[in-house]
Amino acid sequence: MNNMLLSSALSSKAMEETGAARRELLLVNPIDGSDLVFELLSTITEDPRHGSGVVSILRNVTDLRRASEEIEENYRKMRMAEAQARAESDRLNLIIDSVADPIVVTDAAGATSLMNDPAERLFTIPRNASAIEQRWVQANDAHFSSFIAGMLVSADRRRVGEIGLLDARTGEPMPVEAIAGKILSDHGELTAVVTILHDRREALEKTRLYEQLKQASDELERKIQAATADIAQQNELLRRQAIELEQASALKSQFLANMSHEFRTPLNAMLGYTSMLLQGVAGPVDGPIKRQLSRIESNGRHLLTIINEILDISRIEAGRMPLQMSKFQVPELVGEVKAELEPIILRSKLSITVDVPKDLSPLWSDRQKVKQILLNLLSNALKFTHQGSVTVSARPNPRERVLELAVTDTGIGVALVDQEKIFEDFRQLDNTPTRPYGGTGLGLSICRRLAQMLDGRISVRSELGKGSTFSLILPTKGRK
Amino acid sequence: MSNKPDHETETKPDRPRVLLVDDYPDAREMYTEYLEFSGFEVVEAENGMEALQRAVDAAPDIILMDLSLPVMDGWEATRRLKADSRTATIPVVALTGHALAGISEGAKKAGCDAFVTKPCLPEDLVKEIRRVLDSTANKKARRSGKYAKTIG
Repeated sequence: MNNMLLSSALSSKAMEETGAARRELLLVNPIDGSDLVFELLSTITEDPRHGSGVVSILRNVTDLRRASEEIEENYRKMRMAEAQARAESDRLNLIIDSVADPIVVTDAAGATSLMNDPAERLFTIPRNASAIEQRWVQANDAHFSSFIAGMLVSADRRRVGEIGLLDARTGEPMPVEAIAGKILSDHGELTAVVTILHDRREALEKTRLYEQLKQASDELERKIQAATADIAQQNELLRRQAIELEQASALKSQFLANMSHEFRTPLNAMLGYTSMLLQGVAGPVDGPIKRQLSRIESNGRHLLTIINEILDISRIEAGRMPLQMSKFQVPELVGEVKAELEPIILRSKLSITVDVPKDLSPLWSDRQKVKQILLNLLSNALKFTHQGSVTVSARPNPRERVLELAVTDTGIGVALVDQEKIFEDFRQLDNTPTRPYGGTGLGLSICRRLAQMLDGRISVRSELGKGSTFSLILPTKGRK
Repeated sequence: MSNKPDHETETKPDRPRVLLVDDYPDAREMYTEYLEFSGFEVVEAENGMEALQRAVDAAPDIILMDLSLPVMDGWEATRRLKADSRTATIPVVALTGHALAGISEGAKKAGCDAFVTKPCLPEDLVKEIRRVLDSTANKKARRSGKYAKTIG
């Protein structure tokens, strides 16, 4: 077969007649049947003796060819690996550049092998940089180098430190936290140091603000504590003052009670003797003497009323005015009130009407206090009415379970704005020294307090110059 | 008790005897004058201690007792009078210028039969004395009917 292949190659060669040629010839290895590559060199020789002939040389080039192919293959693989490495490097760069913190990779000798954009801004002198800007970058470089140098000589694989850099654009101090890690080869040799720098200005600013906030908060807390202590102290003071006031008020009430007792003792003798004189115990009395004695008596009685009113107020204030509840007939009570004021009624020449239903249910209340209120209201009506009439009426209101006892007059009246004032202690609307109406100004104040004690109330409807209606409204079921 | 009818027939069939206890001379004098004018016989005392003595000595029909008194006050004197069998039946009318609540309850507790607030006009005091005397007489009459007739 090899002969055939050679003959064919040679014959085709002979036909071409082209002199010396160099061709590849594929033959078969007779031993194992594998392909063999031969180089065939054929040269036509002109031999005068033997005529022309073809000299062919066969050289086995099989190994050579294989080596060449392998080289080509290796080269291709290498190119591929290179592309892959470049892609990976690009990807790494992309990642590194996308990190906001400056990252610097340094080789084992301390030379910078890679840095991202933020790092470049710190350690690379920009174009057109001024002298000062250059110095800032140089200073950064020096600081960083000394940090890396320290890292390289130490045995630590990781190191965290702080470096005082400068902002390369503004020159302002830029403290950074440097986190450096050594990268070792499989054999444990140092291949690189990767350093990440973290700008601490924001963190420091936050810390500073936090400190300030904490200080302000502490200050506030101190102030609040001080204020609270102050308030507690004030409260204590107020509490003591309240106790003192209460004691003073109790003392005042006691004093008034004692005083009224002291007033009553001599007044008792004055009124008693006057009464005896008027009754003729010491002999008959007539004419002007009798009239003058009557004046002493009526003024003495008036003084007694005043003392009693002061005593009442002090008793109510001291809480020493107990209720004595009973069931009683209202018409009878109104009759008594009218009878007690008969002398004044006679003198007044007013027409007095009593309008109380005879079939009124008995009232459950403190009879003495109801009487005192009605006496006061009626005597006020008589005092402040110069002409016309005074009516005392009783109207049950079953729906609201109250009884309204009213005294209506055609007297001087009370203006709307003054209708609350008349119930205050020691209050008469005319407080001038020459006021035309006597009295302590305690009457209505006492009446209101008594009415409240009885779970009732006193109200007034009045028009200046036309008259007034004072009403005592009492619960018909007594105290709850 | 057995001596009492003798006393009454002996001294004053129509003039009841009043023991007036008051430390204020003007009041004492005034009431005495008016009581005598009104037909009573009056025995005076200035304090509680004196009142106890007079009550035994004079055997009054009624006692007018001021409550605020020196030496021994009216409450204590009344308690002692009511505890003594010789004076226990004599009605006591408390008389005081203290109008504070609780005084009348205190007086009733001590054994007073009635309570009058000063100022009290002489005529009002006489009215009260007559009322208490009447009610006491009625009680006595009810308690022992046959003796009442002999007294009357």
